[in-house]
Amino acid sequence: MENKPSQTPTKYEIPKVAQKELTDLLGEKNVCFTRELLSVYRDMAWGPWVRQTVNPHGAVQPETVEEIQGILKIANKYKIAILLAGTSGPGFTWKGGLVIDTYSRMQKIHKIDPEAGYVVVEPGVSNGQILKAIRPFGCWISFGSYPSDISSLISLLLSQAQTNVISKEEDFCMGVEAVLPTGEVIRTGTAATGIDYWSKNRGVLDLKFLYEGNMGGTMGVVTKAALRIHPLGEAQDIVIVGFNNFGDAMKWTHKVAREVMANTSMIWSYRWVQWQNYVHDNAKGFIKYLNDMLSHNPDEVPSGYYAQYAFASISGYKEQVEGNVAACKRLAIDLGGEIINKKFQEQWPGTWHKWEEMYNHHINPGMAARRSHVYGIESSEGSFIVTTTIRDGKKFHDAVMKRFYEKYGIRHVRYYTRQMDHGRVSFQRYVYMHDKFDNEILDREIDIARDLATWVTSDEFRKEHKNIAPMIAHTVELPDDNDPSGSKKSKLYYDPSWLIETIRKAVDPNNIMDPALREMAEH
Amino acid sequence: MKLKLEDFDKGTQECIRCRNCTIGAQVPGVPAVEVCPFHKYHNNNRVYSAQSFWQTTKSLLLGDISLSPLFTDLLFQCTTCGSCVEHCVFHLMQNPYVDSVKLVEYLRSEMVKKGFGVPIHLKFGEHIEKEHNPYMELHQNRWDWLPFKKEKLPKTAEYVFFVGCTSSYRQKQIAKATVNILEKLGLDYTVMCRPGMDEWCCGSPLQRTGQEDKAKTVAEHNLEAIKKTGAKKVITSCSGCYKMISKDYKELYDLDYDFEIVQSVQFLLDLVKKGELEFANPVNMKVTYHDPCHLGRHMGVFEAPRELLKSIPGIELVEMERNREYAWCCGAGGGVRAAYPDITMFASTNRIKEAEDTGADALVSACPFCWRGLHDAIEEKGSKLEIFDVVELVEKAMKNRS
Repeated sequence: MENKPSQTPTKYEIPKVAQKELTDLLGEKNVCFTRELLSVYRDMAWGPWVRQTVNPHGAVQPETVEEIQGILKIANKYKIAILLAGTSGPGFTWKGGLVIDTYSRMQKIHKIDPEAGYVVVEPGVSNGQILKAIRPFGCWISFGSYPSDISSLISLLLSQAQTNVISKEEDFCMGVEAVLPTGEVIRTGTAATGIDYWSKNRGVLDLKFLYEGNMGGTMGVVTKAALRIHPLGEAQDIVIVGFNNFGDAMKWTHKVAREVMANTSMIWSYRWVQWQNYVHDNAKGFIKYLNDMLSHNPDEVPSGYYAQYAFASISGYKEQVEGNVAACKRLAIDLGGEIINKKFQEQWPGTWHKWEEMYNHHINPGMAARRSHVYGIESSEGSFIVTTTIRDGKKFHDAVMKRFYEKYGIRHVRYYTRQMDHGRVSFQRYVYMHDKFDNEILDREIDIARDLATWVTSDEFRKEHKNIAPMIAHTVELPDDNDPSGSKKSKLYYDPSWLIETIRKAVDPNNIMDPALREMAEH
Repeated sequence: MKLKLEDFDKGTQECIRCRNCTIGAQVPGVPAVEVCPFHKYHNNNRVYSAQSFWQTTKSLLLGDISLSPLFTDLLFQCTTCGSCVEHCVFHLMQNPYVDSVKLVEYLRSEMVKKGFGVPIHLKFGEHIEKEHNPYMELHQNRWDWLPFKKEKLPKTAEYVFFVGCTSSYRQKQIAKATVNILEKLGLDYTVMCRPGMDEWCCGSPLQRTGQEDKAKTVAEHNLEAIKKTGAKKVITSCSGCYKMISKDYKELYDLDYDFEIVQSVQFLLDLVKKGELEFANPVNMKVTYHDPCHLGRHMGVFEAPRELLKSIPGIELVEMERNREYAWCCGAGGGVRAAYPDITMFASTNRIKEAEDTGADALVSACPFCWRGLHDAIEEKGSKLEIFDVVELVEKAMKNRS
């Protein structure tokens, strides 16, 4: 295949002849070219951009690497735009094209090696499937709960996004097998020496990050991934500390993470703990929470409770756990905190139950750690997330809370922060709620999401907060007739499309991978 | 409450495409399970999933597509079992907007209004209008199963046994067992078998297949008939009837009544607890219990049948891997058995395999319609499992009263 970009524009429609070839390759049950039925693939992500998507022109569901190679061969032949549902890829269809769905039929667990600590899985394998398979070996795996399979998470895991969920993780996705747009199969990371062979030290280029994906596009279809698993600790414990100010809580969680005293250290706001406690019960609990939240001053914390609930989860050998718990407690007291394990269980039984599941039993935490984020910034309806360095955490937090109140008039913000990467980075999530609910709420939330993202990427903000991780995705910077400047600004500073383009030219000569996204970026 | 497409807008925004509705991997403490029968039947094809319902609804709301016969298979092959709802992240978060069963029933009704209903569903709908049952049987034969002349039954009574079409025309042994139990206990009960106060189909098959106007008509008739009996409590044999009368009559058709409605297992367990029902004959059998979707997931009745079974001497109850709210559907509901028998057989044989894996001698359920689907699969598979309704075992174990 000629290794230079094609001059022929990529097609979104799938010619009849290509449909026949795809059907012959995969069987009628595994292809669909009835566009009306393909809404399910119009957006596989979640956010304010979803209203701008369209149904793809077709979807195919391969089961093997060879079938994927065949699909890509056909796509190259007819220059059909490819979108991925399963591993990396854009997450939504902009103008249509052919979706390759690696969720549906690629659901095999190829290998479990508890000694070396990894599993080799296909992209459609579910989180629960892995958990169930590795439990008999006394192992656990760290993942978020969205999505429920590891497919698109592979792309996030590649970039250690899981440090967000359980801070212990590094190099979570150790290697991948992927099919290049040209149809060649590449194995990289630890898989460079064989996907079934785990090697800590690789002697070749580690290209696995090419398949990281996100809205910047991807460079191939991941077909297998080697994921790290861990032995369940002999003992587990949790330290919960009540603080009355965010700064001290931040210092404690940071130190606990940096000194590797705990797997996870987090801060939960009073409102977040309250919310978890209520929703644990039932729908009535949620309504009670809403009523309670809307009828009280959100700044008020009742007597006997704390503004910040800091938390550390520790596991390992019994002696190790005892020692780390003692150290965590001493540090907390030094910083003016109060150890409240018992009190917490009494005051917040619902929240406690959830934490027990997540951290003591390593049960898939469900919605409690629903989303994980590779991006520096993500802002979608009702939620705003930034990953920042630890020294900016407090300063950033104050700025965000001030903006919610002063700019948007929102006082009901619940938040949590998680120390990641041994305390080098702080992940901060804010969920905001309006004082009233009506049909226009979504539009308002989208406006706020756009505004927040624009704000944190503005020159002015970045002068003050220099350590906000750069924004890779155009999450909320889609072309907007009313405000085209937002996109340009974002692109000017943070868009890595030049890098993507350079690599793409080498691996995707016919430009079949996510061409729509590039057009969108150029829009 | 009459629903509109716009009522589902919030749900389309909330769905995060997590696939819990098909592979259900996120429920704490619950093993990885297959969730959706029709998704699995279609080789895990994502087009056939609850997620697809929501995304299709979004396209409809945006005006990108409109309903047409193209959507027949997508919308009418779902058994409306509600397993997807139970596994939904947003359901776990108590979000009221993401209810796929409500959505699919709404979309089906829109399809029917546009003339795109499934012919066999429309045919049984017409028969229900005419003969008040979906089995193409005559209304006058509805009470042929009674072990005595229907005139023996009083016009008014404290309890009404709402038999349902399946027990009346097909699984008559369940109806007979129930009446035998009521007789042995000497309770003041009746069956609605008199002109003007006669039992009709509860309307569930109509509601599930998009024929809600017809369903409301039969609901109004049944309520009127029940009121005429003066009953304080209505006992249903069928889980579908139970859900329909106790929930849908009120919530979907805004109908009101002041009697209590219970499924037979709830009624009998209550008697056991009061000491009014005693078992003298051990039933030495290892059984596993299949949760009917309409009784379990839809109505939250999981423990009553189990407690009742455990109260029978000799019974050893073992659980299938997927049980209670995570139970695999028998595949018969939602009009699927009538229109897509292959899907029903696929789902029920899957369930039979799971039941066999427990080592049980018998599979027990509390719904005559589940009984049908599962029984067909036992025959098809050549399984050695026996199948019973809970009331059949209760009848076997009951102490004879003079």
